[in-house]
Amino acid sequence: MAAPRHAPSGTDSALPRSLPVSSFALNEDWLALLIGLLIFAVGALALTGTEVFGWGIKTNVWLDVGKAMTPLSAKFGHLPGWAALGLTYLVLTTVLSAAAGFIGVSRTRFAAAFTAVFFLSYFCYALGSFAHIAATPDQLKKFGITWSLNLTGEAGFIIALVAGLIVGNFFPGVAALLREAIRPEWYIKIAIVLLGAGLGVKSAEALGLASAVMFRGLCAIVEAYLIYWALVYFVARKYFGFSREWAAPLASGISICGVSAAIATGAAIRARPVIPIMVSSLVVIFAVFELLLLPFAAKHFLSHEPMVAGAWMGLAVKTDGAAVASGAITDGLIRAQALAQDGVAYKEGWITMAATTVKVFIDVFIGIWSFVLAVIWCTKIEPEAGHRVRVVEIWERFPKFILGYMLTFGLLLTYCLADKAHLPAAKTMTAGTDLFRVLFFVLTFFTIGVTSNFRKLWAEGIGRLAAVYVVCLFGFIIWIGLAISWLFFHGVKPPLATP
Amino acid sequence: MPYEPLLPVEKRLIAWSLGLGIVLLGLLLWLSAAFFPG
Repeated sequence: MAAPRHAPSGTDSALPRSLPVSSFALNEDWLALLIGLLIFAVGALALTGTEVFGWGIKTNVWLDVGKAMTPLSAKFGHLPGWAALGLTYLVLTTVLSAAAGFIGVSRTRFAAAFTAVFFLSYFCYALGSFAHIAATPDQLKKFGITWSLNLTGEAGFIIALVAGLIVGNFFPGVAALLREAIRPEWYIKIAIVLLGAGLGVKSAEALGLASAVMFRGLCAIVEAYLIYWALVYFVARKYFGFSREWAAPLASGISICGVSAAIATGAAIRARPVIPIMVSSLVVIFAVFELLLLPFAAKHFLSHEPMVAGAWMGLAVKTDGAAVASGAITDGLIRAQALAQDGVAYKEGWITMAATTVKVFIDVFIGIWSFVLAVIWCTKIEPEAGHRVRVVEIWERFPKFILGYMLTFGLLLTYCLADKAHLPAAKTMTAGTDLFRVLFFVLTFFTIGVTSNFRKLWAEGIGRLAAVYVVCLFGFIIWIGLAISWLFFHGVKPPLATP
Repeated sequence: MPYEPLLPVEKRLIAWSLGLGIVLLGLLLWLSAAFFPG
């Protein structure tokens, strides 16, 4: 059996951890759960009609910097973007500083460091939403531009990571000043608790879609999940020599749903946070190539099987934004092709729906798979050496934030399924909680960059990581996705548009 | 990165995942065709 890890390598151990990982992680874990649930509970006031986080910062894809930041809700339209940012900062700083005291950190020093970390991270995120970086092909017309890197708003995560790496590797004095707020594991776990709420609502919404598309989408992702994950894990371990700590987040990141899956898996198996972050960065970059290539391949080869094309986008393109954008592009391309070639006018939106449905179900399974992996890792792969694992030990070692994810997911799903009329209020609620979720994600990327020693990371095999990604993605993920989409969706046609 | 051989439990995880995927493929295709025709 492998020994449990206590000291991270590839990260600068002098920076972020003031307590041993084992005891620190336990307290941090509970606090992440509690903070996530606190934001969830306050956000739930939106269900009574109060847009409780309507004043929070919303970051838009922008060409004019003055339009980059707006309050989340139109009801707070009178509030300037910078004020929404300031309010969001104040709330987060207050809550996190108060909580930091419970893990032995000076609240004042945490607040001072967090201020710098928050604004640096947010600046990177907003920069990533610049239209020439983030706009997808279906948005170019709206912005009146002819080119974009197509990275979606998630480009901000990569910019935050690069900025963090620069600070951590070239400005060690600055990194030392920020050390109290450099807590990537904490931010990740809070974000995942909040992620459950958003996905609960998305799932309920998907359940209202056409039942055949929904059921077939569910089947497709069960298949893709079981086959993709196992194959990628095997290839990474057997042929590329990755350790378990690298291979599991890599398998989830490539095969499931990119950023969220890699992060949730990494946390579930107690991998160092730098690993899922590196995997996530690759996922976002490669999603651009998929977004540029696959819709046109679908138009060329699948114009007679539009729903297969849509499902394929959902299965093969690995970030939420890029998958839905691919579905939308494919929708437009195939409908135009079918009309020009065969005179068939399909109703708009069904191909996008197939992509979105498949993607949503993939997201739903993140929690289930993380739970399964957490149990296997606790009990079989990394149990405490030398004695039989008892149930209470499984509980002690089990990442508590996963329970938070499942709770927020289950509550919102149940609430929305109880009555379809609940959906709009639930969406308003999760728009608020998602605001914080995205901020916690970007804080994670920035702080992981600060803690990462680039030379050590390179030595650990970032280049090999990219190689296994290319081999798996283009070697079989895309093609198995196509085969599964074909099996479950061939012959299913979108309804015809009424003249 | 130190070499870590594949543990039996990892092999079982991979095999179960693939096996379940293949078994479910038949079942889910039948359910789709029988109850959710396109």
